[in-house]
Amino acid sequence: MGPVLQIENLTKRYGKNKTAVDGLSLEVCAGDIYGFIGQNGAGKTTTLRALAGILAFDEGEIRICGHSVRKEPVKCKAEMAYISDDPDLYDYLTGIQYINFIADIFGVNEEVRAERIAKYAEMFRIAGDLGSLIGSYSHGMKQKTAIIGALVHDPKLLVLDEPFVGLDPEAAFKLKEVFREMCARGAAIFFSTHVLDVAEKLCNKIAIIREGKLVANGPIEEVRGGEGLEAVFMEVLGSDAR
Amino acid sequence: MRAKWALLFKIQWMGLTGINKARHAGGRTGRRLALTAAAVGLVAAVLVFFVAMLALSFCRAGLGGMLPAFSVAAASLAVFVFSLLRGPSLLFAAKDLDFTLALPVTRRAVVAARLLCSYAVNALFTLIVALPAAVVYFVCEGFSWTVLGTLALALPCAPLLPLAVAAALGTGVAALSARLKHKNLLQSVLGIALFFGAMAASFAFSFGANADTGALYNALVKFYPPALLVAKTANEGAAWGVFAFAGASLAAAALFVWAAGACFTQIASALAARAAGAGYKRGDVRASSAFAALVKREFKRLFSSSAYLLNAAAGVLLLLLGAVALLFFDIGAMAGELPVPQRGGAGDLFACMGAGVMAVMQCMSCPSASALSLEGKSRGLLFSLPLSAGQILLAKAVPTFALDAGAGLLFAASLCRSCGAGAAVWALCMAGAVLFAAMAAAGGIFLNAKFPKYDWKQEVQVVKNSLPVTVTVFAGMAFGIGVAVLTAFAGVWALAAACAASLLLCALALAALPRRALHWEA
Repeated sequence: MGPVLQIENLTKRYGKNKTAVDGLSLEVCAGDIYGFIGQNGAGKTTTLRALAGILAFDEGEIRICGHSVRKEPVKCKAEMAYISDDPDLYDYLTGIQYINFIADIFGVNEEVRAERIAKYAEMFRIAGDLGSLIGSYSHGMKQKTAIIGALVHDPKLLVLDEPFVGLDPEAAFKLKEVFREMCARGAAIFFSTHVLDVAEKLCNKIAIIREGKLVANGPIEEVRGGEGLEAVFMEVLGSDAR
Repeated sequence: MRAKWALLFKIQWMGLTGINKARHAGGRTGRRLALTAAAVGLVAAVLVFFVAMLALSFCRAGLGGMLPAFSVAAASLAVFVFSLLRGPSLLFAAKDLDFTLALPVTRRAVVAARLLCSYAVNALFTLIVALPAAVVYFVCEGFSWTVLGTLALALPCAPLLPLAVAAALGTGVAALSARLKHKNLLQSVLGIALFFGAMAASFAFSFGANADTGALYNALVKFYPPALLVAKTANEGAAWGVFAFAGASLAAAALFVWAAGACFTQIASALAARAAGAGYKRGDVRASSAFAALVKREFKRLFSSSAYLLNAAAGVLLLLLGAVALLFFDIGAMAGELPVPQRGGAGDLFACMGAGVMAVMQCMSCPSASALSLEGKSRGLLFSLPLSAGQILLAKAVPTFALDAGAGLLFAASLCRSCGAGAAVWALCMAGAVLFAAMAAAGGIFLNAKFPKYDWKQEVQVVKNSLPVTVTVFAGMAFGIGVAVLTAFAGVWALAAACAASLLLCALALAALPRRALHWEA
């Protein structure tokens, strides 16, 4: 089985002088929980936005389940879900209207969506608020709503930018459970984080990006090489790729 | 050290005009700003021409002496109506409200900065209206230091009073509706009611004036009595008049800042507070097609914002009012006695000309011209969904088409009935109602896709002041006026040509829409 996500030589420039992502290549396979770490401004969000089909890129290729993001964006997006670091949802919809909207776009039938919404709404303890306008939600509630919207169509690839920011400890724990459950079913998770501890305990693979370039990448044991992830991270920030 | 209100004003002004962004971002952003400035300049040039022609007609009618007071009154009324359209958003819609309220500044400084921002825009508008009139006055009536001094003092003050009154009404609406569940809808309804109240009053005076320039002047200053103070100085040399005008304007603005500052936090907090804690029922989970879901979301967006709805509904409501008003007029009988040398007679001719007016109103209501820009920061969510650009943009055009076509069909039917139009004119007017609406919807979304503005701080920056909205409204006005004028000469053939042209423009706009994907960068 081919990789769920394949990034080849991705390059994204802003203007003439700023190269945000520089020749980045990696593969995420079914069952992977892939952590993507780097400093602020290293190019994580740019990479995630490019593979979500939101941001046009200058060079390289991104394939999701074999489809090119550049040539077949709709097919790619149908296989994945993306949650940004700032869940700027539609304040004028209620939580349930938002999730219904996402389910309609992905063509999830009524029975299946009802079952999944009930399951995840209970799991994240937000069922009692889904009838309220999103504008009244806290950051964490918006994040939970965005997560349910992403899970309602059971994507093959889940791409998340800082997914644990704003979540309460119980919800963060549940989300990690969901990640493991999805991967056990053959899906893949690719997410950025600044919390090295989470990455170390949750991920089976890690990529570290510095100034737009991948400086470490692979199974976590290989990247770590007997050290803690924090030590490796600090080391690669000061040196070139291992 | 600069006053805090001045610092707040500077920040807001930079956000409103985009000058700072263009300076630092350069490239495409700078070119886009230059293009917007060119479009605004073109609109200003048209306005200057129109005002100069009107001023000349005053002078030819021997009423040149009334021009200073007339220009002040006309500009003030326009400022009042446009500010009223902004409603509560004038003070409370900015995205930086929480940030601003957390700063160590007084509430009155916040109110003053926001009022000053609106004042700066309206002062520019006032100058565009009043300066050509002043030039015509000096050319036709001769130069006068008294009039120059009067205008120099009166014009900068002119926007203050109408702006303060409109802002007070908007704040009042916000305060009254803040704790209600459907406050956005209520604010929109109240705003529309205020807008149409002002329009109805102005029409009443215009009808009373009987389209005669002298009577028009009397009606206008009757509707806006402070302009008489300007006339006292300009025409009678009584210096106290203009000083009283300036004093009243400044006092009104100061009073508003003082009063609104006192209750600003309470209203802002009440507006921000929303009822939470409502669960959902199994019945809330309903499936529909992706396109239907997109369209539903567009309608919800339209009704979620008073500024958006007010700008989108003005033309539609005027059409509906027109349709109702026409039920009580038999234009066919009134025009029957006119010697119109055309097949079908005066009734057909007036129906065709009325179709031009319909096109103006339809293009005035064009939410599609700002629908994409309104995605703002949350555009990433929409663009990451498995939807083609075509699906997204077409869904955004649907509310404009539905509202404009619906109101247009009612207006056209009422117009044709009132004019006693023949079958061909009936068919063309009904087709025009649909085709003009389609042209407005497609043209609006085409321009918005071409020139999106996502980095707004207040919705009004895109629903009222953005390039696509300005171009759509003014191009629509030019189109509609062109239809009305051409039908006066070529009758039904001109209307047929207009229908064909709108079909062609609509097809071109739809064909030029981006197909594959929309991206984060504008």
